Amino acid sequence: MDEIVSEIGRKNNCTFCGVFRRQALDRGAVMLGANKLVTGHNADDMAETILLNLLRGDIARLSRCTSIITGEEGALPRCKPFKYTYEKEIVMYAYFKKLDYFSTECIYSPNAYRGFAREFIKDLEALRPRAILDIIKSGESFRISLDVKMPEQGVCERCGYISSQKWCKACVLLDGLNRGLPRLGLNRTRTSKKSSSVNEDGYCGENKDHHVRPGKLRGNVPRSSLDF
Amino acid sequence: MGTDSVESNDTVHLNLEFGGGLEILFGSIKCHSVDIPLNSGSEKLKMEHLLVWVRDNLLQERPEFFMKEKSVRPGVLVLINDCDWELCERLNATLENNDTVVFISTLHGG
Repeated sequence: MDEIVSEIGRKNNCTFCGVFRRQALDRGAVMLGANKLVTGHNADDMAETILLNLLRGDIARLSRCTSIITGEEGALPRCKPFKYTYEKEIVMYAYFKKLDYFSTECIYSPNAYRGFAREFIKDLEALRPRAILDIIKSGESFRISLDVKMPEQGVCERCGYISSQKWCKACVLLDGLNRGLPRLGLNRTRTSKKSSSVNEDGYCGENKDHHVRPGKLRGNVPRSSLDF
Repeated sequence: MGTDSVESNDTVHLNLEFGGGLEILFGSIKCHSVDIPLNSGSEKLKMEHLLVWVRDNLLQERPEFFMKEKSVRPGVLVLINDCDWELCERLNATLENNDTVVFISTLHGG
């Protein structure tokens, strides 16, 4: 991650880390012969994610992020059993059971957008603890308007894994890094009509409307609206 | 559990613990054995005074990670003798000699 950050700077770090980390989990799990992937996302994480997707207008993710099981149609379904468990409960449990507890913070997290959502939700929780569960309930109850164009699921041309674009997000990011184009695959709000979603959860192929055509870019030239 | 030592009139002896990464703000030391001076005129030590004392005397850096206004930063759990302080009046809870107060941060970015 340190190498990546030295290439891309201090913004959008979560995008790279999340995408590559998810890919590593997926590939590693398959190598071990696993057929289910279970993560430790808790209620606080869920509430933050719902709020983040709301703030970014990421309808595709908003519709999916509250599902306790995802990817059932694929080879490696994922599940979040702690979806309704408050982070406080988990920390208390770990403390009283004297479990090994890792609390090292990612050094790039102070710049993360998620931090603002987290701060807000912590303030909400202090005033009304139920707010976290209520946000999740609201998120689960969202129904997407039929007018919204949703991405269709296909496969990545480069690596064959699940993707809603020609290339999956991991391949796009990796290609950008290897070719010295650190902005490849990231948000470009000026050039596209609807801004594409900055991927934080590591879900492959989440580039909604903004289709990147790697062959047409010209290296580290400052971007203008004529590029697309 | 009876107290071993006679409570002196002007200090309260406490065992403080910092966890969940919070110890970094306190010289990376998790356990601190401290004697808190009572404000002149007050008979009992309250949590809100302890917080101020800790911030002013024990905290080595970044006070905003420990306290927000008069209370702990949201996301920091407080246990008084292994009991969640939400059950004992939070800032108003009184502390006795040889009590143990634990502060655990649940805030880990990333």
